[in-house]
Amino acid sequence: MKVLLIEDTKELADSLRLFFELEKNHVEMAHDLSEAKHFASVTHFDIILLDIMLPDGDGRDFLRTIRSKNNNTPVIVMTARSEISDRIDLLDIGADDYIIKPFEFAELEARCRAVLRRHSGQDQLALNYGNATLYPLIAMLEAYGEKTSLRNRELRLLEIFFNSPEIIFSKEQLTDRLFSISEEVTDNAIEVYVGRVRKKLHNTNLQIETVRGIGYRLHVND
Amino acid sequence: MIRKLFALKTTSIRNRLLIQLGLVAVVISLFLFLVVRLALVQAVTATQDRLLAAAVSSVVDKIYVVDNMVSLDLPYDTFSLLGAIGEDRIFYQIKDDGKFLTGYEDLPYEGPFGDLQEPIFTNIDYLDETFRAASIENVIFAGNQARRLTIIIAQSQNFQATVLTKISTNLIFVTFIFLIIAILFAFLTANLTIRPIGSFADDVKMRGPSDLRKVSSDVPSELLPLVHSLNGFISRFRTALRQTETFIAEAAHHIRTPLSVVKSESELALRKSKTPENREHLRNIIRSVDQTNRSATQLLDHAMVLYRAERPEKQKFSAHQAVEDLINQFRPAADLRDLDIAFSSTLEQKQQLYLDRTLLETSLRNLLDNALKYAIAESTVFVDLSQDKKQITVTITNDAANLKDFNASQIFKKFKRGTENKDIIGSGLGLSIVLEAANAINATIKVKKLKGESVCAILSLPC
Repeated sequence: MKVLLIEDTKELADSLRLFFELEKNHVEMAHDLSEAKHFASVTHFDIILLDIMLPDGDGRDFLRTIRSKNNNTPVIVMTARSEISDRIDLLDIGADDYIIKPFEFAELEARCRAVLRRHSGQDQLALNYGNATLYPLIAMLEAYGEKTSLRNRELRLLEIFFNSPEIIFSKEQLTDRLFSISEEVTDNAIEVYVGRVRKKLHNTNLQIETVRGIGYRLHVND
Repeated sequence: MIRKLFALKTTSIRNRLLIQLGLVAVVISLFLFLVVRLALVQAVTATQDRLLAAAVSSVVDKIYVVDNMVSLDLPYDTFSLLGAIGEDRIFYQIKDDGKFLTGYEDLPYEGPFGDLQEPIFTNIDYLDETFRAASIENVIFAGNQARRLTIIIAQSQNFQATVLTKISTNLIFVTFIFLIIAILFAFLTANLTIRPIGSFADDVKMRGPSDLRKVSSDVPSELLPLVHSLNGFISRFRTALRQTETFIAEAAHHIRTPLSVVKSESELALRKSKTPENREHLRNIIRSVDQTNRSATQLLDHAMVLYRAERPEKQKFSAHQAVEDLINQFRPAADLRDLDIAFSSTLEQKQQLYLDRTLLETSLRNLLDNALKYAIAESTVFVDLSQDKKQITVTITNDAANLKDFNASQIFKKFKRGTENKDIIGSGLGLSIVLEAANAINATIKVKKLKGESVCAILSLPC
């Protein structure tokens, strides 16, 4: 996925870029409106993440400009303002969604996914491993033409494994990725989700293997 | 008495004016009554005096000297004329050089005496009655001797009293009519004087809640200082509101942007970190950021609700659409916890609400946020929209764990949180914000525990 990130706070922009790159996305960064306009005019992006308060103007002007040029790239606005009226204004001028700072990467990812799902078909994004294909946008796992729907956490768990197959993830790492830090999580929560996903992988040649004392990894059965 | 009169609704300019003008009318009426009555008494007295003077003159004409003797033919026709007027009684006394000649010797008058041109008129008390008397002194010659004759004619005042009573009665009636008319004019004057204030008040009252334009009504010059003061106040109020709005937006930006940096950096570090100790530290940092963000958000929400409660911006909008939009906004956050939000509505799409949408959505956002936060993972949060004759009701129901210490009377208090939910991040302000926002839009909010492990929040809106 190709992301245009328009954010003037450099540290936040760097973190977001690193996050998207860890998820195997390509990110271009713009720190002001002029840079953003330049990128938007020369390249196509799958999604634009837009801050409102920029040093050389208002992000809403950028949004109006690209919409007036029939550029339908999905835009998620990142703002520190939480008033409903702001959200309504933003949606009215063409934003696809709206996220209030500070946000969790998982929430941003979920919103990106929801927006992309509305904009593109299920074939737009697919992750393949073994004989299975994972469609994150529509939360679907396919093997031998048989499709299995996934709940959100099952999907995110599989995404982690599909993006880094054969890599061992500890229980804590998976907990941090699957659950919000502010949530109450039981000790066996990851085991519950791993158990469920294993059942959904039953007709594939994939297996979530328990590496005793270390964690879990996705593995192709020969 | 007057003070007591002024104490009655002294805050009303119209009443004060009415009382003042009414008092002036009463004083003028009394003054006119007294002046006219005095003039009347003088006129009646002058008439009687002229009649008495004529009677005295006719008596003098009937005095003559025969053989050095003073003789008198009493003018009975004059006396009967005087007596005929109002059946008055007539008494007279004639003395010759101080010696009683004829009439009533005991008539108590010893002078002074006038002459034919200018008789002396006076009141005398006689036989338990007051009489009007005319007296003169006339000198006649009998032989070579000058004789000093004193003549007094006294008339009772029945006729004068009768005339005065009749005319005074009429005068009282006329004065009363005058007083009534004067009070009516006072009432009209007070109303006309007050009318520009009423028009000015209507002009201000008819304005919408967000109309903070300067007042420009045509008002009398006396009201201009008030208009200038009001416009000054409006201007200061507008500035203060703008500053509040700007402050809330700026505060949100300046608080949340650094928190975003800390949170995203911490999340990245957590993802890369390998040691359990560092991961625990980073989790604590993220928890603190979330807690700070939640408190900041709710304090800003609280400030916004207080600000909006003073200046509600009512608008018409579809209740169904507003609730559905809000739910859609929350769906990605619900998905993260594998929660479903089931929305049901018996309302027509076009059913409209007329209230401050921001305040309503602030209430609903906090209620939904709470429902999602405390709902058991992978459960469903139910949102129902219904209507009866008087109100539209939004009901949000969720399954929740840890309801042992649920206390409906405490949950709306600021910074009150259940002891069983300490691990879930929260500031304890959410429901108090909901209550304040609901009060500001004349809505009511109830939260109750249902059978089993469910909680239900009911927001009833006026329609």
